[in-house]
Amino acid sequence: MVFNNWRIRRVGQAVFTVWAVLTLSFVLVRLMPGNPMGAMLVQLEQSGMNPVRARKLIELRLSMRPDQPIPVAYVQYLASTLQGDLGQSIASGEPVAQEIAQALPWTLFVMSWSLCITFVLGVVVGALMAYWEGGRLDVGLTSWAIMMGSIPYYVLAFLLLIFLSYRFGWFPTGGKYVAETDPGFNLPFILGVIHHAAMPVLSMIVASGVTSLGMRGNAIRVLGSDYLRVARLRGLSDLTISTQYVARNAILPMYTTLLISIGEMFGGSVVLEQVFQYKGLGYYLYRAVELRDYPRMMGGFMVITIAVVIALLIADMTYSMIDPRTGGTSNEAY
Amino acid sequence: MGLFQSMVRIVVGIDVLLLLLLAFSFAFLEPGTGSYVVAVLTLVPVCITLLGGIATLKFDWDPF
Repeated sequence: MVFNNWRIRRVGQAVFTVWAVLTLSFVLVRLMPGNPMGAMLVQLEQSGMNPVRARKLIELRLSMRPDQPIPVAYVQYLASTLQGDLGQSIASGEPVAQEIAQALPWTLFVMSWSLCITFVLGVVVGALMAYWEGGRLDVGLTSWAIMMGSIPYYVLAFLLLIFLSYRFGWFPTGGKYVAETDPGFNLPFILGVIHHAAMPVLSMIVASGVTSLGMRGNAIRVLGSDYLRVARLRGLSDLTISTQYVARNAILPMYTTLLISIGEMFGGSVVLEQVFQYKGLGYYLYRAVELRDYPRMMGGFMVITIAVVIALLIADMTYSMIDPRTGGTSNEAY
Repeated sequence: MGLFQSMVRIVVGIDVLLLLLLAFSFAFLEPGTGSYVVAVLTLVPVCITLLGGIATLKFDWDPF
């Protein structure tokens, strides 16, 4: 009963978190200087349109009345969101849910490969660094990881773009796929997608060098444990000790770190996709902020919030499966 | 339960999250578009690792 009550409470916490973040986002977005009407007016006037005509055009286009009082707009937004309607984008007039659904796979493609490679590399390299602690490999890799972790990921992205794309021409300078190819299940398109996604993935992997440092620290901590001494005295082989005892216990904190990094990757995608002109969720979110496109902004924030909350919920619910000591009761993984 | 099983559980957890997000996308995607192709390209390895992970856990397989 306690076990089930804890899970119900944890799901309730997740729902409350999503609601709180949405509410805060809604208020902050509306308090931003400027409004959608002003942003569109500036754009139309810059393109040479008569200001009076531009204003009339915007009034026709805008059906969401951004001049509504915030509480009224908030209640209407919550009601429509609960019915699955995320509204229409002010910039394009398309349903926000459809725009996000079309942009999300591109970001997920980059993110899934980044997560997978970061995790595997981080665990393996971190374990090697801990095994050869103090040696040249450890010192070199630690210095590299600290340096890469200290450089902001968007700076790394620019550096990679300058050298690998513009200087050497190994990777494209921007975009999601080769423009000349037809989207579909054909090899030129698929290869183009992979080639264009390589740079954002590389930026995320290189910037996540601290993952190996975390694994190294965990492994060194475990190496000093008494039960390892007992395992050696029992005559267990090095392979058994390193996999069943050291790595298995060192990897436990990496689980929640990895799932939390999903939120960091989503946040990072906003700037990264701008740098590489990779039109995923982050790119559209950035454009929505520029244009004060409230519905698109809220839709993007909501998807990211729900993704992060679900990731943490999964971490909490399943942590006891990888660490039986937690017992799956009221202990949380973070 | 060893290192391999722990890693498989971690992978399954991430796969579940990615599947949920992809399910949202697939509800709105039209077959034949670039986004649909990329969603499938993301879905395939996710499904493979998820099914492999579930099978590994069910049969308690550990190569180490």
